[in-house]
Amino acid sequence: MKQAFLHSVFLFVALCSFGQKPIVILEVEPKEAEVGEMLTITVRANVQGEIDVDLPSGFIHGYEIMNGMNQEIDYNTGKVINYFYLSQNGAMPKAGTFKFGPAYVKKGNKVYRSNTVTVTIRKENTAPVTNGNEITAKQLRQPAFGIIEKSKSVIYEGEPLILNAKVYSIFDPSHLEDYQEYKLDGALDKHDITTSSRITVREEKIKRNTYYAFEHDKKVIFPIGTGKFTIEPFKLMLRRGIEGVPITSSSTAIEVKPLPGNAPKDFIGGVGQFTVTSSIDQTKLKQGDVFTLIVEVSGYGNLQNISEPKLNLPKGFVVYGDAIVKEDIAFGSRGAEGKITYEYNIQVTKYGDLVFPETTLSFFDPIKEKYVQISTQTTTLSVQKNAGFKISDNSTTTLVESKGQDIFPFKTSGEFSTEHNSIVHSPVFWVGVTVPVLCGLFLGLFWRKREENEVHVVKKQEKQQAKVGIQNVFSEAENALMNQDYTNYYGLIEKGLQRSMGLYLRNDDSIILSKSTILEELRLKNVEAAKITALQQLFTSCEEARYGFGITPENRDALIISAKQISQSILKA
Amino acid sequence: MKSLSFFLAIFGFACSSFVHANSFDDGLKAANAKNYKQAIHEFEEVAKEEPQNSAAFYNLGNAYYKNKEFGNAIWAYETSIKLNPKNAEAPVNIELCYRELTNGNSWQPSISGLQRMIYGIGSTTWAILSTLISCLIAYSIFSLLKQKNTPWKRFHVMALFGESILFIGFLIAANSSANYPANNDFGIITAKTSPCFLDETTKSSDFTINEGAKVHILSEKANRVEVELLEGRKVFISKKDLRFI
Repeated sequence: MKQAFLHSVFLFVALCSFGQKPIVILEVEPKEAEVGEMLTITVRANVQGEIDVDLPSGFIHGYEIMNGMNQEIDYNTGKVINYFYLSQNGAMPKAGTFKFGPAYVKKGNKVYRSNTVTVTIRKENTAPVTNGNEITAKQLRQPAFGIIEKSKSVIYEGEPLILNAKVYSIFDPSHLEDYQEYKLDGALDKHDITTSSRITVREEKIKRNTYYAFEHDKKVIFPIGTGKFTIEPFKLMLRRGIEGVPITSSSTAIEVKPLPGNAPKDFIGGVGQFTVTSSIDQTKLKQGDVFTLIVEVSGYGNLQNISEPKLNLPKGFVVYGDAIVKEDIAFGSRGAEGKITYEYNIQVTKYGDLVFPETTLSFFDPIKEKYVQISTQTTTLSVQKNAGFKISDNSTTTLVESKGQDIFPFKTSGEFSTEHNSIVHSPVFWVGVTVPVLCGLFLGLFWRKREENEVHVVKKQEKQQAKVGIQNVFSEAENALMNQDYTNYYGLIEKGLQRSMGLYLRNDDSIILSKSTILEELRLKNVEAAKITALQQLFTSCEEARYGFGITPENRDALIISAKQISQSILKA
Repeated sequence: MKSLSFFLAIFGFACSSFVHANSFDDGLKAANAKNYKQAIHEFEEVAKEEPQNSAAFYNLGNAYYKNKEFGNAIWAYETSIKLNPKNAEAPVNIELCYRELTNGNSWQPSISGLQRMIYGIGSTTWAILSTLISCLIAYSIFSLLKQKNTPWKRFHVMALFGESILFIGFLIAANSSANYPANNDFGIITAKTSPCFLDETTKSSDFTINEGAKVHILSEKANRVEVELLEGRKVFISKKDLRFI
């Protein structure tokens, strides 16, 4: 009996295994989604066939379709089962509750049916995703988008603000091009704190969708002034190989609140977290000795903009000169971080055991939202009496001690020289400036004219004398004619003519020019051709007569008259 | 009749000078008696009547400082510096005002060091120098015209060139020194905070600027003034919130 029972059980299991029921499963993920959010519909079946799914009307098919086969082990039977699957994505364009399925697998004449899945679609949430920075639904529908990421939306005046460009894309970007940085009006003090020029892409999930995201152009900014400031968007071209998507990020806004009005007197303008320490190089001194006090302010925030702490020195200590300031500041995600040391040279003018007071300063803590006062330790100085020491100038000491605590005193009316009416605007000034220049010009011109006149008169006299000289030569020629000294007669005529031409052409009758030169220069001076011809004939006649070619007595007597006429006519011209 | 009116004019002028001197002294007396409101009133009177009186503006700044009106004090000190660029005490007092205001501002000179030196010398000095150099130019012109073709000609040409450059420089310095006090290029915010508008008519402001801030005046409109802030932003602010330097 027992044996028969066991046999029946084994037979039943074997039948179940061989006659396994076809399975068709429909899965939709997620079950609750927003309008436009991607849904993944998967049909799994252990029979291979044509798969079809009943989808709600209006369902928008996505581009991701996958099908294939995978194998699973049935741990009950230990058998390997082949599952065929089809996966598709898509979205619903409207809100409501929708039934997906059933899915059908058609194999031969048989059709296998799956389950149905109910999915609730909510209205689209138009409110931005708030992780401190706004991502709109519109941006999420784009293949790539950018936002300006900021460390805070509301800051106090002087508080550092960290900004960076952040880019999201549905594809894995290779590089970016044509980056135009975001702009903040009034950001007087900004520092680049980007650690690497390369972009590091990582995956981030927004609303269950995975994006490739990276940060770029990280800056620490110290806005000046208070109020609302808009940060203008950045632009870039995001590339994946040669394909690119232009991106213009959304703009963003920050609010800069003024610091509370009840600032302590020792407020140094610091906004952040700071500490102060001080050290004195020697504690055993003689009266009149100068020691060095080093005050070190360290921390982070707007360290680069803090003022020098005020020393609260009692009588007996005098500061010499300005403090030597050394800065060791680096800009990072906490603002300006590091330390500033102020080195003071202080003279001790009293003796005994003197307590050098603490240095106090206040800064504004933006986390606690209040002013915080911090101070250094007091130091006891042991100062020996120095009989030879005298305070040389009490008034200077007082001034140095009081400087920085009170304003300079009132003035009497005579202490500042004031120009009530500038003479520049009066005509007297312009007359005074121009008259000397004009006088110099007119006097100079007058002087020059007078000198020129003098020269002219002298030249005229010289010319007159020269003419008389030439006249004398011609008179000598006439005498030679009367004395029948013909050779001399012709020579004197030629001499008279040459001197005349010398006077005419060179203003100097002592220059004797050759005949050919005279004729050439007369032509160049455009003297009448008749006169030149007459002169040339005269020279020829004189030469011919002198060398015995013969001349009639009438022509001989006429030579002197012609020479005089030509000389006079040319000199007149 | 003519001599009587001349006498009256002289008398009136003398009386008005006496009144100003009295206001100045009254201001000092009020300040010594720590009656700073009265001192402000007296020095404002002097400043109104003698807009070139640097000492009056300086004392007005001190009176405002003592009365804890730091924006007005900065304005008065800045005006005093403008009238007397050699004034070394007013900048220190302005710094003290900014420390009291604790809004992160600090004194920024309106003019460069070179301009301060030029304006500090004063237009009268520049005018005298211009007149002297014009006499030298006259001498050089005369010499140049008189001595022609001599070895000195080159020297006189060079001298005339140098003198002409100096003359133009001195004239520019004299003119700019004389005109500088009349230019209202800057202003100081005297209200506790002043809303900044992006245009002439907008009613809502985007941000505010603090008391004592120095702004560069660009243009004046009916009720607002277009200004450029130190960081370069151009905005409109209400006329009543600032005083011109």
